[in-house]
Amino acid sequence: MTSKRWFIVTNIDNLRFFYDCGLVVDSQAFPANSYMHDMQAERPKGFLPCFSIDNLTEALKAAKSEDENLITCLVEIELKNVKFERVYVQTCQRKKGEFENISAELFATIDAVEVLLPAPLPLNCIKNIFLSDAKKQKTIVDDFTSAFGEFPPKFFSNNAKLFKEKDSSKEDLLNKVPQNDEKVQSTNVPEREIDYTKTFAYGGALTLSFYQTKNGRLSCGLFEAFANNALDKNEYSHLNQLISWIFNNPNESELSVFYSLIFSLIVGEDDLGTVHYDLLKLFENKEKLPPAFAHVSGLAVRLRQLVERTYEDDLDVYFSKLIDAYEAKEKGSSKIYLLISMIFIRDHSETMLKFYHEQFTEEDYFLLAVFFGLIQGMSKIPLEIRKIDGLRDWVSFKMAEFIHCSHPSSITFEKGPSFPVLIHNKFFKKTSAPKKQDALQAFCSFIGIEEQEIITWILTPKDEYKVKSGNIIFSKRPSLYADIDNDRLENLILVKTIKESENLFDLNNALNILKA
Amino acid sequence: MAKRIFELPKDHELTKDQRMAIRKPAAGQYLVVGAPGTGKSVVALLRMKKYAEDAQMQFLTFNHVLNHANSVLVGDATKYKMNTAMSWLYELHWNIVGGKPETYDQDKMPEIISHQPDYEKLIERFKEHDADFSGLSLIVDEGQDLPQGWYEAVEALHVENFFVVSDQNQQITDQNSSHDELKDVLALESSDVIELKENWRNTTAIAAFANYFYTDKSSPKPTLPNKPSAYVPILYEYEKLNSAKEIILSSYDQDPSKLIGLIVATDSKREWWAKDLTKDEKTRRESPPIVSTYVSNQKNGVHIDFDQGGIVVLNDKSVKGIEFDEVFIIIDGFKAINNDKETLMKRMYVMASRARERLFLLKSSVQKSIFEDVLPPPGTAISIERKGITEQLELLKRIKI
Repeated sequence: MTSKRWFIVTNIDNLRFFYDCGLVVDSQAFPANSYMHDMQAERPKGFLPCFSIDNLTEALKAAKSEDENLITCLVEIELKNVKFERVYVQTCQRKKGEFENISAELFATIDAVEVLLPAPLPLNCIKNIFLSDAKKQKTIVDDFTSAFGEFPPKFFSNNAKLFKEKDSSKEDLLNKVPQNDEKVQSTNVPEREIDYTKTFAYGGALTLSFYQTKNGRLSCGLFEAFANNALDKNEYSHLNQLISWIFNNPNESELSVFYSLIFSLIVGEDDLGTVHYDLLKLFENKEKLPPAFAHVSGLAVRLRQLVERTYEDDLDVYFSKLIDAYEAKEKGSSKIYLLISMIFIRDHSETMLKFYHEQFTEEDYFLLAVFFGLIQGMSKIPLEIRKIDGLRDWVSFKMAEFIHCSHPSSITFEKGPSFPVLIHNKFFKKTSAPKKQDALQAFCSFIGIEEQEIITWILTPKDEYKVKSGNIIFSKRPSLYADIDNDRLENLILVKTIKESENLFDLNNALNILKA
Repeated sequence: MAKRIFELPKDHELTKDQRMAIRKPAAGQYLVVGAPGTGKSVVALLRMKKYAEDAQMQFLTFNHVLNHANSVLVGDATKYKMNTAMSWLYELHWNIVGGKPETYDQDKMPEIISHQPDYEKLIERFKEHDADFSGLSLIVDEGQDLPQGWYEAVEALHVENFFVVSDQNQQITDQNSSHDELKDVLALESSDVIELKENWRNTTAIAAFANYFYTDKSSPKPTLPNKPSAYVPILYEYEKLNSAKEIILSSYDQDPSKLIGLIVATDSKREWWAKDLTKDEKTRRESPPIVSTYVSNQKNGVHIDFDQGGIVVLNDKSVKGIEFDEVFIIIDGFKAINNDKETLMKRMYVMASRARERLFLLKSSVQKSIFEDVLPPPGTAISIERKGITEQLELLKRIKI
């Protein structure tokens, strides 16, 4: 592997979008008109041009060509994390815009000045971000930290030297060879059309459903199955439908057709008012519905009443009636209507996550999170959830893997971030370790419950004991166990973190307490 | 009451024009013009955030409610200097002349009438004191509502850096400036004027309804956003006042994270509604809303929690520049000044465009509202393109309750 340093050369506006969507992406990923021209626009679609440290000048100019007031930045890529057999490179010996497809072995030996990496890259491939101006650095770092969570120390640094335009005698290495005047065309590199919509939907669903793992063991199990695309096909049919849609798992049931119809209207749509508009049109027009779901026009009447504020009961009654009516016909059949109704009732994932109903099950809360995550994608995930330790990089890695699998490319990634901690799997277990017991007690106080509601203290003698003069005498010191009533804990967590809480549950704080 | 989702947009949610305006250097004079909902205030606030640490930045708005809403929206307001334009000028003048209570009559702001500075005398006074505020950068929101004299007075302080956002179709005071006057007083080149064209706040339905009331003959109607919504504006005609109250309260109960603006015609109605909405005997899913209100001469400041859901009862004069998730306008009781239809249209334009997501009008079935004559006739619709198909979007749905 080459020992050179490699940089994606862009501007703060584009960098901000990388973090917002959770991936280092090419211009196809940007919403309409939000991509700001940089060197990527002059390269084949679907590739991220990375420049060697001695070939930055031209790319720096391009990164602010659309507006001189743009702030440029250098995103240093840890190329060791990217594994490839072959790669497109440019060397000093080739004309501008001409790339050679070479093997990894050769790449390690030649003096390449630009490499085209198939997009996207996970965020953990970013080693450092360099800015040219120390004055602006603080503002930018504060801004990024408040928007996307903590960054490692010195992750952002300034290095004016890297931004210095080379004098004409030491101009770019590429200028040593004859250039043609035409617009750069990399005709020898096949473009990669990438549809990012589903990837961002997947990332949104992973992130929001991870938040629900606070609710209990079932959510933790469902999350693991979702993350590994390993959910039992015979269980949790509605979650299976959502996962099948993401991974294109074969499924031709009418339920699947109905879900696909819904997703075709709502995934990637920015505004939920528009989603409501499209869904009502779909439901009110039975012709497009699978026969088993033609009755959804009845639901549409009530949804229309909610929209027009003429529905007379409150939302508790609305959901009770809905659940009772559909569950009486077929167990589990209410779930899809619950999901549809919720997007008419809550238009933001944060307010949805705080919607409590006595009849909602832990599975329902999990489903709702996956559903809203799919609709709203990565960029609308509430900040408190984005900031959960380790989640950003893990989700980014999963999305990158997903896209390189669905849009095959020549690269894979080394060393993925570790699986995020699932608190119910890791911490809420019977324990005799005093530190863990302290942590459990602290957690009770953190969520506002009395410890005796969930912890039973059990004194366990290790050996025989004698009773002497009314006293129990142990031959060895007994162990004191804290035993957790997990069912009770999970019920209380639902109440405390959804029904009774003004804010989203602070999983970082909970983890800090439990890890103590 | 629940936490409201009230935050500044992310970069990629802004238009390129908005972002370009934000990036303009801290020094210089710029005028940003655009119709309601084009994100002028958002641009002004994001610009303040961008430069607050580097430049001596002062953010000014026309009214107290907008100033308060902006302070909440921007987050840690203690980091920023924000005020209303007039309060700031009065305070600045007082400090420059070294005003003292015992010499109040001599030191006070020279005025033509109460609260209306005599700008010529003020400029002379600034010159006498040789006041120099050349290091200051001003961001002025709703700049059209300040007269040229205000700008001339500030320029007499050697202030050179202006970033003014303005919409001349939203002038609601007699003391105001047109865009040409602003260009003139700030000596702007045409390259210093940035026009925001995309409606970015409202849905297609709300923007189309507001456009129906657009009166500015000198500029074209704002472009409609491509955001069709199930929530077309609705006119509820009620027989009993309680039905109107119920629809407002049940709307809040459906999502307590929403901030509802209730706009009424007169101060007495404002006070009555603010009290009456707190009297609710019905058992509801959510806790009762916080009902707040504000009137421009209110002495104890603005007590509206813009980052919590609730109901805010206001007159149309206090709603300039601010936005609500849902807006209810009770159209009864408004009076036309000198039968001036254009002013009436302008008032509806401003009120309607306050709604981000939902807009409802309420009227009594037994009273005649002057707005009835200017509302779109039943069945009026606009054509929109949706996924390659032309569809009709009703401008105003009518429902009897």
